Amino acid sequence: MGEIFNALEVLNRTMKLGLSGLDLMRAEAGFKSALVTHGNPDPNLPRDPVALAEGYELKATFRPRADGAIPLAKLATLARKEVSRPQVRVDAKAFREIDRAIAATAKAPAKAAAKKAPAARAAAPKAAAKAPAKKAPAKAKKAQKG
Amino acid sequence: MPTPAATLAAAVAAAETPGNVVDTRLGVAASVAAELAGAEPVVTALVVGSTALRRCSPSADLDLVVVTDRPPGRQRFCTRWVDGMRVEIERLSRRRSLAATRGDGWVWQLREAARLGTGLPVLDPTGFGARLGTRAAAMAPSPDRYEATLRAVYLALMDLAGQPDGSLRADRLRGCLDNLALLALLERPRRYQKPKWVLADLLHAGEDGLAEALLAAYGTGDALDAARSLVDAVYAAAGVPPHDEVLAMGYAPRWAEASYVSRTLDDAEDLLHSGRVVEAAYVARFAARLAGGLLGGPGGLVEAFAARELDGGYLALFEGTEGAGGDLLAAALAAADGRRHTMAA
Repeated sequence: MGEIFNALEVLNRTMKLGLSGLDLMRAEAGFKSALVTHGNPDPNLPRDPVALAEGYELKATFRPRADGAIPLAKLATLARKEVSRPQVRVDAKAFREIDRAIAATAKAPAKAAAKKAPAARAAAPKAAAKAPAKKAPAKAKKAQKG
Repeated sequence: MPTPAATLAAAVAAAETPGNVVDTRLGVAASVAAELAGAEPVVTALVVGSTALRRCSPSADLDLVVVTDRPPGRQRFCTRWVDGMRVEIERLSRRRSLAATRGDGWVWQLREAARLGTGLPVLDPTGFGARLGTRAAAMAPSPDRYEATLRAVYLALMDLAGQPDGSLRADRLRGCLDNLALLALLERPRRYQKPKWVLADLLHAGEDGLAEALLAAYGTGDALDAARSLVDAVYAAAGVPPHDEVLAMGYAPRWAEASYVSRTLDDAEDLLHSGRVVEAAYVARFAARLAGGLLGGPGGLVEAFAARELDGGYLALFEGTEGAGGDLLAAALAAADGRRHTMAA
């Protein structure tokens, strides 16, 4: 599973996505959850993301985004920290928290969208009659944000 | 108890060519230079190479560079025998010698300049030879390449810190130390001559810490036979003739990289026969690492050896070494910071 994080980290660096370390961890955990949910190749693996995380730890390393992008002195400082400090390790407990956060943020909009879609359609004529038209996009935006 | 580097420093000092041997050789060179000056416009004559650096045996070739006022033409290289001593003469025009000691450069240019710069004038009526020395010493490694190499070292140190495999980590660290040794020597007047003289030149440059780290990372036990077997196995895998054949070819453009590997391995043998056991051990292992470069492929040396199922032999060369422990990493970081400060200055 560490390979997934490494791949994301490389993607982040090379494409200059600007994702923070936490973003990367979330993305990695999300990817892992998605792997379980959609076409997990091994049927024996647990489907619950929290249970899945039990057997893994995430080892994260931080790198300068691109060669030459930071002054040599900062690179030296970064190297010194990396060498002297153990790797950032995310244990199963932290994984559980991350997965719960992902589950909370991923399921809420989906449920809201599923519930609101017919209701919104039904309410549309009323809303159109009661409220000014410009307020509708604002509501939609709020729903998207969850 | 003295450190391995301190022990080696004492051994290197003891192995220096005695003053009387150097004086005899300089006398021979001076007589040859004077004879040449009677027939051609000699500006200066310099003894270069092992005699100038006090690393020669009494029977070694004597290298003499003669700078003349006109292009040497076909007579650029010639050989003379004086009192049973082979004198290798190279003629250079004044213009060419000035061009060779100008501006920035990298390994090859700096080494060529250092050859003149560290030369001992045996005929120098106008001070031109001394001037070449000053010019060569003022040359600097190319700043861009220097910084790029140093950046690569820092990034490699960061990478190896996250490498869980101890063998891979130790090998990456060897690569870092090799590069740091290269940078340290490129700053100094002797520059980077060849692997054979790396440890001695680091000690000469006062880089005892780096020499110590190299010894710890490479190991000091005899490794010549094992390195030679590995080099031959690499040659077989890469479609290169055996080591002895490559060596016998001398200058072999078709096998240029292998030729360098073989000459390095031969240097290790030479050091061993001279009693310079510790340096021989380092150079033999370094030759094995150089040979790994012939295998190509993505990843590091260990991966390249592993792809040909030669990693067992390669890693066995370094059994018993310190690996990439905290002290060695700290030494590598200190050496890198030293280079960075020099660059900033």
